[in-house]
Amino acid sequence: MRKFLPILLFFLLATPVQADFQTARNDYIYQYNLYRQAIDNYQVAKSTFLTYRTLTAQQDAQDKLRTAVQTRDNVIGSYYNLLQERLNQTTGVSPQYRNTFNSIKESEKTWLSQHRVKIEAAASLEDLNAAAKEFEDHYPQFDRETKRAIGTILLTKEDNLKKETDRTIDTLTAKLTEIRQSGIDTSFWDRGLINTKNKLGLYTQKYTEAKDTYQPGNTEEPINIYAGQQRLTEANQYLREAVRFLQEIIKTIAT
Amino acid sequence: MLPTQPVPVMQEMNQQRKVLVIAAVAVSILLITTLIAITTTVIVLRNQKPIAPVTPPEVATPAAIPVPPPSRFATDAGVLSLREAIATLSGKVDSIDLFETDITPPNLDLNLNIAPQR
Repeated sequence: MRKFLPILLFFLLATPVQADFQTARNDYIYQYNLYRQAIDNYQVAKSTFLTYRTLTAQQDAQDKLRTAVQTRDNVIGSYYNLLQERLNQTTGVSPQYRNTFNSIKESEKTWLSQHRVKIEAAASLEDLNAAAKEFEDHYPQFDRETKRAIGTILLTKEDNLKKETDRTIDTLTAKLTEIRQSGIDTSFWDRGLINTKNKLGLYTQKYTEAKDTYQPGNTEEPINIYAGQQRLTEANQYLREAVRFLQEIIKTIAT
Repeated sequence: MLPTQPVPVMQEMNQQRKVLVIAAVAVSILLITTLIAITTTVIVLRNQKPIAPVTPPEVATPAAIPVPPPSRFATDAGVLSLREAIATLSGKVDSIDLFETDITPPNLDLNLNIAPQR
Protein backbone atom coordinates (compact mmCIF):
# COMPACT_ATOMS: atom_id res chain seq x y z
CA MET A 1 0.00 0.00 0.00
CA ARG A 2 2.84 2.34 0.91
CA LYS A 3 4.33 1.68 -2.51
CA PHE A 4 1.30 3.12 -4.26
CA LEU A 5 0.88 6.09 -1.96
CA PRO A 6 3.06 8.48 -4.05
CA ILE A 7 1.21 7.46 -7.23
CA LEU A 8 -2.13 7.99 -5.52
CA LEU A 9 -1.01 11.38 -4.23
CA PHE A 10 0.23 12.33 -7.69
CA PHE A 11 -3.17 11.62 -9.22
CA LEU A 12 -5.02 13.33 -6.40
CA LEU A 13 -2.89 16.46 -6.68
CA ALA A 14 -2.13 16.65 -10.38
CA THR A 15 -5.44 15.73 -11.98
CA PRO A 16 -7.57 18.62 -10.65
CA VAL A 17 -5.19 21.21 -12.16
CA GLN A 18 -5.38 19.57 -15.57
CA ALA A 19 -9.15 19.12 -15.22
CA ASP A 20 -9.59 22.76 -14.18
CA PHE A 21 -7.66 23.93 -17.20
CA GLN A 22 -9.64 21.66 -19.50
CA THR A 23 -12.91 22.85 -17.99
CA ALA A 24 -11.84 26.47 -18.42
CA ARG A 25 -10.78 25.77 -21.99
CA ASN A 26 -14.07 24.06 -22.84
CA ASP A 27 -15.98 27.01 -21.38
CA TYR A 28 -13.82 29.48 -23.33
CA ILE A 29 -14.37 27.59 -26.59
CA TYR A 30 -18.11 27.42 -25.90
CA GLN A 31 -18.28 31.18 -25.21
CA TYR A 32 -16.18 31.95 -28.27
CA ASN A 33 -18.48 29.87 -30.50
CA LEU A 34 -21.52 31.70 -29.10
CA TYR A 35 -19.76 34.99 -29.83
CA ARG A 36 -18.94 33.99 -33.42
CA GLN A 37 -22.57 33.00 -33.97
CA ALA A 38 -23.75 36.28 -32.42
CA ILE A 39 -21.39 38.26 -34.66
CA ASP A 40 -22.71 36.54 -37.78
CA ASN A 41 -26.31 37.29 -36.72
CA TYR A 42 -25.37 40.89 -35.90
CA GLN A 43 -23.81 41.44 -39.30
CA VAL A 44 -26.84 40.08 -41.14
CA ALA A 45 -29.25 42.14 -39.00
CA LYS A 46 -27.12 45.29 -39.40
CA SER A 47 -27.02 44.84 -43.15
CA THR A 48 -30.80 44.30 -43.30
CA PHE A 49 -31.41 47.38 -41.19
CA LEU A 50 -29.08 49.56 -43.26
CA THR A 51 -30.81 48.36 -46.41
CA TYR A 52 -34.47 48.63 -45.39
CA ARG A 53 -34.36 51.12 -42.50
CA THR A 54 -37.59 49.75 -41.02
CA LEU A 55 -38.42 49.84 -37.33
CA THR A 56 -38.65 46.05 -37.22
CA ALA A 57 -35.23 45.74 -38.80
CA GLN A 58 -33.88 48.31 -36.33
CA GLN A 59 -35.27 46.37 -33.37
CA ASP A 60 -33.80 43.15 -34.70
CA ALA A 61 -30.43 44.80 -35.30
CA GLN A 62 -30.49 46.27 -31.80
CA ASP A 63 -31.20 42.82 -30.27
CA LYS A 64 -28.47 41.21 -32.28
CA LEU A 65 -25.98 43.96 -31.39
CA ARG A 66 -26.85 43.53 -27.70
CA THR A 67 -26.22 39.78 -27.91
CA ALA A 68 -22.93 40.34 -29.77
CA VAL A 69 -21.68 42.82 -27.16
CA GLN A 70 -22.76 40.55 -24.29
CA THR A 71 -21.09 37.47 -25.76
CA ARG A 72 -17.94 39.50 -26.40
CA ASP A 73 -17.83 40.33 -22.68
CA ASN A 74 -18.34 36.66 -21.86
CA VAL A 75 -15.45 35.63 -24.11
CA ILE A 76 -13.07 37.96 -22.30
CA GLY A 77 -14.33 36.76 -18.91
CA SER A 78 -13.77 33.10 -19.81
CA TYR A 79 -10.38 33.98 -21.34
CA TYR A 80 -9.22 35.39 -17.98
CA ASN A 81 -10.31 32.12 -16.33
CA LEU A 82 -8.39 30.15 -18.94
CA LEU A 83 -5.21 32.13 -18.34
CA GLN A 84 -5.59 31.81 -14.58
CA GLU A 85 -5.80 28.03 -14.89
CA ARG A 86 -2.78 27.92 -17.18
CA LEU A 87 -0.84 30.05 -14.69
CA ASN A 88 -1.83 27.65 -11.90
CA GLN A 89 -0.78 24.70 -14.04
CA THR A 90 2.61 26.11 -15.06
CA THR A 91 5.40 25.05 -12.73
CA GLY A 92 7.63 27.89 -11.66
CA VAL A 93 5.13 30.75 -11.86
CA SER A 94 5.48 32.61 -8.59
CA PRO A 95 2.53 32.51 -6.18
CA GLN A 96 2.75 36.32 -6.05
CA TYR A 97 2.13 36.62 -9.76
CA ARG A 98 -0.72 34.08 -9.57
CA ASN A 99 -2.32 36.16 -6.83
CA THR A 100 -1.72 39.40 -8.72
CA PHE A 101 -3.33 37.98 -11.83
CA ASN A 102 -6.19 36.63 -9.76
CA SER A 103 -6.79 40.17 -8.39
CA ILE A 104 -6.62 41.59 -11.92
CA LYS A 105 -9.08 38.95 -13.11
CA GLU A 106 -11.52 39.71 -10.29
CA SER A 107 -11.25 43.43 -10.97
CA GLU A 108 -11.95 42.89 -14.68
CA LYS A 109 -14.85 40.59 -13.89
CA THR A 110 -16.33 43.35 -11.75
CA TRP A 111 -15.91 45.76 -14.65
CA LEU A 112 -17.52 43.23 -17.01
CA SER A 113 -20.49 42.64 -14.72
CA GLN A 114 -21.07 46.40 -14.45
CA HIS A 115 -20.74 46.63 -18.20
CA ARG A 116 -23.28 43.81 -18.60
CA VAL A 117 -25.78 45.84 -16.58
CA LYS A 118 -25.28 48.81 -18.93
CA ILE A 119 -25.77 46.61 -21.98
CA GLU A 120 -28.99 45.18 -20.60
CA ALA A 121 -30.22 48.63 -19.59
CA ALA A 122 -29.50 50.22 -22.98
CA ALA A 123 -32.87 50.91 -24.56
CA SER A 124 -31.70 52.61 -27.74
CA LEU A 125 -29.10 52.03 -30.40
CA GLU A 126 -27.17 55.10 -29.18
CA ASP A 127 -26.94 53.68 -25.65
CA LEU A 128 -25.97 50.27 -26.96
CA ASN A 129 -23.30 51.80 -29.23
CA ALA A 130 -21.97 53.73 -26.23
CA ALA A 131 -21.84 50.55 -24.13
CA ALA A 132 -20.05 48.72 -26.94
CA LYS A 133 -17.55 51.57 -27.24
CA GLU A 134 -16.81 51.36 -23.51
CA PHE A 135 -15.56 47.83 -24.03
CA GLU A 136 -13.47 48.92 -27.02
CA ASP A 137 -11.93 51.74 -24.98
CA HIS A 138 -11.16 49.34 -22.16
CA TYR A 139 -9.77 46.64 -24.48
CA PRO A 140 -6.12 47.86 -24.53
CA GLN A 141 -6.05 47.15 -20.78
CA PHE A 142 -7.46 43.64 -21.29
CA ASP A 143 -4.93 43.14 -24.06
CA ARG A 144 -1.92 44.17 -21.95
CA GLU A 145 -2.98 42.17 -18.91
CA THR A 146 -3.69 38.96 -20.81
CA LYS A 147 -0.59 39.19 -23.01
CA ARG A 148 1.54 39.86 -19.97
CA ALA A 149 0.13 36.66 -18.45
CA ILE A 150 0.90 34.71 -21.64
CA GLY A 151 4.42 36.16 -21.55
CA THR A 152 4.83 35.11 -17.93
CA ILE A 153 3.80 31.55 -18.78
CA LEU A 154 6.18 31.29 -21.73
CA LEU A 155 9.08 33.00 -19.93
CA THR A 156 8.62 30.71 -16.92
CA LYS A 157 8.62 27.59 -19.04
CA GLU A 158 11.86 28.61 -20.72
CA ASP A 159 13.38 29.74 -17.44
CA ASN A 160 12.60 26.35 -15.86
CA LEU A 161 14.74 24.69 -18.52
CA LYS A 162 17.56 27.22 -17.99
CA LYS A 163 17.52 26.51 -14.25
CA GLU A 164 17.65 22.78 -14.93
CA THR A 165 20.60 23.36 -17.28
CA ASP A 166 22.39 25.39 -14.61
CA ARG A 167 21.88 22.62 -12.07
CA THR A 168 23.25 20.07 -14.55
CA ILE A 169 26.30 22.26 -15.19
CA ASP A 170 26.92 22.51 -11.45
CA THR A 171 26.78 18.72 -11.10
CA LEU A 172 29.05 18.26 -14.11
CA THR A 173 31.54 20.81 -12.79
CA ALA A 174 31.69 18.96 -9.48
CA LYS A 175 32.23 15.68 -11.33
CA LEU A 176 35.03 17.21 -13.41
CA THR A 177 36.72 18.46 -10.24
CA GLU A 178 36.55 14.92 -8.87
CA ILE A 179 38.04 13.53 -12.09
CA ARG A 180 40.80 16.18 -12.10
CA GLN A 181 41.71 15.31 -8.52
CA SER A 182 42.11 11.67 -9.54
CA GLY A 183 44.95 12.80 -11.83
CA ILE A 184 43.18 12.83 -15.20
CA ASP A 185 43.59 15.77 -17.56
CA THR A 186 40.17 17.44 -17.88
CA SER A 187 41.19 20.41 -20.04
CA PHE A 188 39.17 19.16 -23.04
CA TRP A 189 36.00 18.92 -21.01
CA ASP A 190 36.73 22.24 -19.26
CA ARG A 191 36.86 23.92 -22.67
CA GLY A 192 33.53 22.26 -23.51
CA LEU A 193 32.04 23.74 -20.36
CA ILE A 194 33.33 27.21 -21.28
CA ASN A 195 31.65 26.87 -24.71
CA THR A 196 28.43 25.79 -23.01
CA LYS A 197 28.51 28.83 -20.74
CA ASN A 198 29.15 31.10 -23.73
CA LYS A 199 26.00 29.75 -25.36
CA LEU A 200 24.10 30.37 -22.15
CA GLY A 201 25.34 33.97 -22.22
CA LEU A 202 23.75 34.39 -25.66
CA TYR A 203 20.62 32.67 -24.32
CA THR A 204 20.40 35.24 -21.52
CA GLN A 205 20.58 38.12 -24.01
CA LYS A 206 17.66 36.76 -26.02
CA TYR A 207 15.70 35.87 -22.90
CA THR A 208 16.10 39.42 -21.59
CA GLU A 209 14.87 40.79 -24.93
CA ALA A 210 11.83 38.51 -24.71
CA LYS A 211 11.19 39.60 -21.14
CA ASP A 212 11.39 43.26 -22.15
CA THR A 213 8.86 42.57 -24.90
CA TYR A 214 6.38 40.81 -22.59
CA GLN A 215 6.92 43.07 -19.60
CA PRO A 216 7.71 46.53 -20.96
CA GLY A 217 8.72 49.25 -18.51
CA ASN A 218 6.00 51.48 -19.84
CA THR A 219 2.78 49.82 -18.70
CA GLU A 220 0.76 51.63 -21.38
CA GLU A 221 2.85 50.17 -24.20
CA PRO A 222 1.07 47.45 -26.23
CA ILE A 223 2.67 44.01 -26.04
CA ASN A 224 3.74 42.35 -29.26
CA ILE A 225 3.23 38.73 -28.36
CA TYR A 226 4.71 37.38 -31.61
CA ALA A 227 7.93 39.41 -31.23
CA GLY A 228 8.26 37.97 -27.73
CA GLN A 229 7.74 34.43 -29.01
CA GLN A 230 10.38 35.06 -31.68
CA ARG A 231 12.95 36.18 -29.07
CA LEU A 232 12.12 33.20 -26.87
CA THR A 233 12.53 30.81 -29.80
CA GLU A 234 15.98 32.27 -30.43
CA ALA A 235 16.83 31.92 -26.74
CA ASN A 236 15.65 28.30 -26.85
CA GLN A 237 17.92 27.65 -29.82
CA TYR A 238 20.96 28.77 -27.78
CA LEU A 239 19.80 26.60 -24.89
CA ARG A 240 19.58 23.62 -27.24
CA GLU A 241 23.14 24.23 -28.43
CA ALA A 242 24.35 24.48 -24.83
CA VAL A 243 22.68 21.16 -23.98
CA ARG A 244 24.27 19.56 -27.08
CA PHE A 245 27.69 20.61 -25.73
CA LEU A 246 26.85 19.01 -22.39
CA GLN A 247 25.84 15.82 -24.18
CA GLU A 248 29.17 15.74 -26.03
CA ILE A 249 31.12 16.28 -22.79
CA ILE A 250 29.34 13.50 -20.93
CA LYS A 251 29.65 11.20 -23.94
CA THR A 252 33.42 11.61 -24.09
CA ILE A 253 33.74 11.16 -20.33
CA ALA A 254 31.79 7.90 -20.42
CA THR A 255 33.47 6.33 -23.46
CA MET B 1 49.92 -66.58 -136.68
CA LEU B 2 47.16 -65.11 -134.88
CA PRO B 3 48.15 -62.84 -132.07
CA THR B 4 47.25 -64.05 -128.68
CA GLN B 5 45.31 -61.71 -126.45
CA PRO B 6 48.05 -60.06 -124.34
CA VAL B 7 46.60 -56.68 -124.78
CA PRO B 8 43.87 -56.84 -122.06
CA VAL B 9 46.33 -58.36 -119.60
CA MET B 10 48.86 -55.66 -120.27
CA GLN B 11 46.25 -52.98 -119.95
CA GLU B 12 45.12 -54.37 -116.63
CA MET B 13 48.66 -54.45 -115.36
CA ASN B 14 49.25 -50.90 -116.46
CA GLN B 15 46.11 -49.81 -114.70
CA GLN B 16 47.13 -51.55 -111.46
CA ARG B 17 50.54 -49.89 -111.70
CA LYS B 18 48.89 -46.50 -112.11
CA VAL B 19 46.72 -47.08 -109.07
CA LEU B 20 49.76 -48.11 -107.07
CA VAL B 21 51.71 -45.04 -108.19
CA ILE B 22 48.83 -42.74 -107.30
CA ALA B 23 48.43 -44.42 -103.91
CA ALA B 24 52.17 -44.18 -103.29
CA VAL B 25 52.17 -40.50 -104.24
CA ALA B 26 49.16 -39.82 -101.96
CA VAL B 27 50.73 -41.66 -99.05
CA SER B 28 53.99 -39.79 -99.67
CA ILE B 29 52.20 -36.44 -99.66
CA LEU B 30 50.38 -37.38 -96.47
CA LEU B 31 53.62 -38.42 -94.81
CA ILE B 32 55.42 -35.25 -95.92
CA THR B 33 52.54 -33.07 -94.67
CA THR B 34 52.52 -34.89 -91.36
CA LEU B 35 56.29 -34.50 -91.05
CA ILE B 36 56.08 -30.78 -91.84
CA ALA B 37 53.28 -30.34 -89.28
CA ILE B 38 55.20 -32.19 -86.60
CA THR B 39 58.40 -30.26 -87.37
CA THR B 40 56.61 -26.91 -87.33
CA THR B 41 54.89 -27.71 -84.03
CA VAL B 42 58.18 -28.78 -82.49
CA ILE B 43 59.91 -25.60 -83.71
CA VAL B 44 57.07 -23.38 -82.48
CA LEU B 45 56.98 -25.08 -79.13
CA ARG B 46 60.76 -24.76 -78.80
CA ASN B 47 60.67 -21.03 -79.58
CA GLN B 48 57.73 -20.35 -77.21
CA LYS B 49 58.69 -18.76 -73.90
CA PRO B 50 57.55 -20.70 -70.90
CA ILE B 51 54.39 -19.27 -69.23
CA ALA B 52 55.06 -18.24 -65.69
CA PRO B 53 52.69 -19.86 -63.21
CA VAL B 54 49.93 -17.47 -62.07
CA THR B 55 50.21 -16.80 -58.41
CA PRO B 56 47.40 -14.97 -56.56
CA PRO B 57 48.37 -11.52 -55.18
CA GLU B 58 49.33 -11.55 -51.63
CA VAL B 59 46.75 -9.84 -49.45
CA ALA B 60 47.99 -8.84 -46.09
CA THR B 61 45.67 -9.72 -43.25
CA PRO B 62 44.47 -6.45 -41.73
CA ALA B 63 45.89 -5.80 -38.38
CA ALA B 64 43.35 -5.80 -35.59
CA ILE B 65 42.11 -2.25 -34.78
CA PRO B 66 43.22 -1.50 -31.32
CA VAL B 67 40.17 -1.14 -29.10
CA PRO B 68 40.82 1.44 -26.44
CA PRO B 69 40.16 0.23 -22.99
CA PRO B 70 36.77 1.39 -21.72
CA SER B 71 36.75 4.59 -19.75
CA ARG B 72 36.94 4.07 -16.04
CA PHE B 73 33.90 6.37 -15.82
CA ALA B 74 31.80 4.25 -18.17
CA THR B 75 30.13 2.63 -15.19
CA ASP B 76 30.47 5.51 -12.74
CA ALA B 77 27.09 6.10 -11.08
CA GLY B 78 27.54 9.88 -11.09
CA VAL B 79 28.42 10.00 -14.79
CA LEU B 80 25.57 7.66 -15.71
CA SER B 81 23.03 9.71 -13.81
CA LEU B 82 24.39 12.91 -15.41
CA ARG B 83 24.12 11.29 -18.82
CA GLU B 84 20.50 10.40 -18.17
CA ALA B 85 19.72 13.86 -16.75
CA ILE B 86 21.20 15.58 -19.81
CA ALA B 87 19.30 13.29 -22.19
CA THR B 88 16.05 14.13 -20.37
CA LEU B 89 16.88 17.83 -20.40
CA SER B 90 17.64 17.68 -24.12
CA GLY B 91 14.24 16.12 -24.77
CA LYS B 92 12.52 18.87 -22.79
CA VAL B 93 14.43 21.66 -24.54
CA ASP B 94 13.60 20.19 -27.94
CA SER B 95 9.90 19.71 -27.24
CA ILE B 96 9.02 22.92 -25.37
CA ASP B 97 5.92 24.63 -26.76
CA LEU B 98 6.62 28.35 -26.99
CA PHE B 99 3.46 29.17 -28.89
CA GLU B 100 0.78 27.79 -26.56
CA THR B 101 -1.96 27.90 -29.15
CA ASP B 102 -4.44 26.84 -26.43
CA ILE B 103 -4.19 30.30 -24.88
CA THR B 104 -3.84 32.47 -27.98
CA PRO B 105 -5.75 35.75 -27.46
CA PRO B 106 -9.27 35.70 -28.94
CA ASN B 107 -9.88 37.52 -32.17
CA LEU B 108 -12.58 40.03 -31.21
CA ASP B 109 -14.41 42.55 -33.33
CA LEU B 110 -13.70 45.95 -31.78
CA ASN B 111 -16.06 47.92 -33.93
CA LEU B 112 -19.54 46.80 -32.91
CA ASN B 113 -22.05 49.57 -33.58
CA ILE B 114 -25.00 50.42 -35.74
CA ALA B 115 -25.61 53.99 -36.81
CA PRO B 116 -29.20 54.78 -35.68
CA GLN B 117 -31.89 55.91 -38.11
CA ARG B 118 -32.13 59.68 -38.50
